Amino acid sequence: MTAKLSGVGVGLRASHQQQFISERPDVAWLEVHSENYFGDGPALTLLENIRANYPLSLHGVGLSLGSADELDMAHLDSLRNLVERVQPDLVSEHLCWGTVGKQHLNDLLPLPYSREALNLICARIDTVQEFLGRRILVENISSYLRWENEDFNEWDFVAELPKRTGCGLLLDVNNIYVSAMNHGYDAHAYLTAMPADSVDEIHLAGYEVQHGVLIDTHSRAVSEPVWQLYRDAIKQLGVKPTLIEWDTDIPPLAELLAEAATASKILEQEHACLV
Amino acid sequence: MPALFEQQQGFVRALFSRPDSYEHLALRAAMGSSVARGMAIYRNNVFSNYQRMLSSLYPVIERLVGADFFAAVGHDYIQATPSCSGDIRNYGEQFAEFLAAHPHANALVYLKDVASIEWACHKVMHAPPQKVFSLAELHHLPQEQLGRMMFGLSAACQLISSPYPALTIWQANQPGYSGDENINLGSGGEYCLVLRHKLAVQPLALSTAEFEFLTRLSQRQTLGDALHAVQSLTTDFDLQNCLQRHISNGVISEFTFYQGA
Repeated sequence: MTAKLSGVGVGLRASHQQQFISERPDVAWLEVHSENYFGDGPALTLLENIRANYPLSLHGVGLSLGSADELDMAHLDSLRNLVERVQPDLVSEHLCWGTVGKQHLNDLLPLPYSREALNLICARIDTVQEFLGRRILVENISSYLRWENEDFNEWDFVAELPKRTGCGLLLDVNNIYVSAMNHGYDAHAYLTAMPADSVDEIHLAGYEVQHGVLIDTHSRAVSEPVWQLYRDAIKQLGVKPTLIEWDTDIPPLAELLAEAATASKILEQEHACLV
Repeated sequence: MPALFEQQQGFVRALFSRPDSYEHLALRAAMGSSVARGMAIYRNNVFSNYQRMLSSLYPVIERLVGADFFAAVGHDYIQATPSCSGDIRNYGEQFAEFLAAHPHANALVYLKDVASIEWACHKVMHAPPQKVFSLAELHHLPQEQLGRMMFGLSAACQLISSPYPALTIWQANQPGYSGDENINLGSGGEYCLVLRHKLAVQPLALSTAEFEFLTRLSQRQTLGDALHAVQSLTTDFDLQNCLQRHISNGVISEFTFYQGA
């Protein structure tokens, strides 16, 4: 394992890659979607060039940790090869499912927070951590539907994961806000339930509202209430490495960096208050 | 509570094939919304994700048929073709075949081969780097062994043939193309080699003889057999030149010797 990340990073997207090589903008670290660099193509070579100058986090979107289907060992093997190649500082995946009966949805779908799902996902996290020979972080998702008759509320389910598997948490503050608004729960109760020592990264992104439902689109700037919740999260959990994600309608790099600067300022202010 | 597998299977069924079946799923809607609305959000996320993938893979097809038609055919494709990988870059492989069979697209007979060129570009773009060897390595080999040589083609190249001018159509629909846009569909078939040079992927025209030769090498025929087959098709084949060209561009990336009798 390499050194832990600190400060504010941004998600590296294809349209900004050349700028990261030629201009080497001042960003604390970068995160990429692992699957975009599976195999041994030129994209990986490009990433290795960029990685030489920045700390890196690998963020998976396709492992489907929460599917009742068998874990896709070929996918996990590709991830291990990538981890060996780029030696990332962090490796993360989502608290979700996306595959059933070998059909992939390539989306992050909500789990029922049941005992069965908790046992299954914890066993999966164990397998992945053992296979990769390292700790992973697991991220909470946004949801637009939830399951009836659950055994846990979402935050207690999330808090169980590090307790049972030793994994870390990637806390997406925008996702907490989106789901809290959609399902009518208290975002601060969620934050309070988080084991601070297990939270190793925070995500921030923009959402959209469609027909009264908040949707985690990663298509715009971080909203004001999410910035506020982020401040509260830092107060509650301590200063954590933070990432700005922007995946559709991707703006010029300068706009993304301005978002990162806003987050940095909050981190510094809260850090000053904490010490 | 039903088992996790049944919950997930029911969710996917409601999302793809039975939009009315969510009622049995024990799902709870977001505040002020409905389960049907929530399901529609997920359906839209999944379908638009694949639509974006298809648009990025098949820009020439989209240009040829127009955005609306492309979206409609794309929707039919997504409905009919489940993804079989957690890596979305593997989605869209059967689109060429699907176009050929689609009742509203199959009249445009050349679409399938143009789509095949676009898929080949995608595969080549993400293939591992070519191994390159020098033509000089062959000069040291005893002449009598040459016929037993077997060449391997790089994973970063693809061969495509079409009874239509599919490559010309592909080229005429590239950004910045300034040549003649009138293409005669009856002008005959074309042979195409898609290969990568550094970070750029390029489809190149091949002669019939070159295409036949490279195809036979890719099938692991010996140099002797491949040459014999090509020479039975045409007398106009320059072996030396062909080997030189395709070794230096990385298409022929390795050689071994046939060990059989």
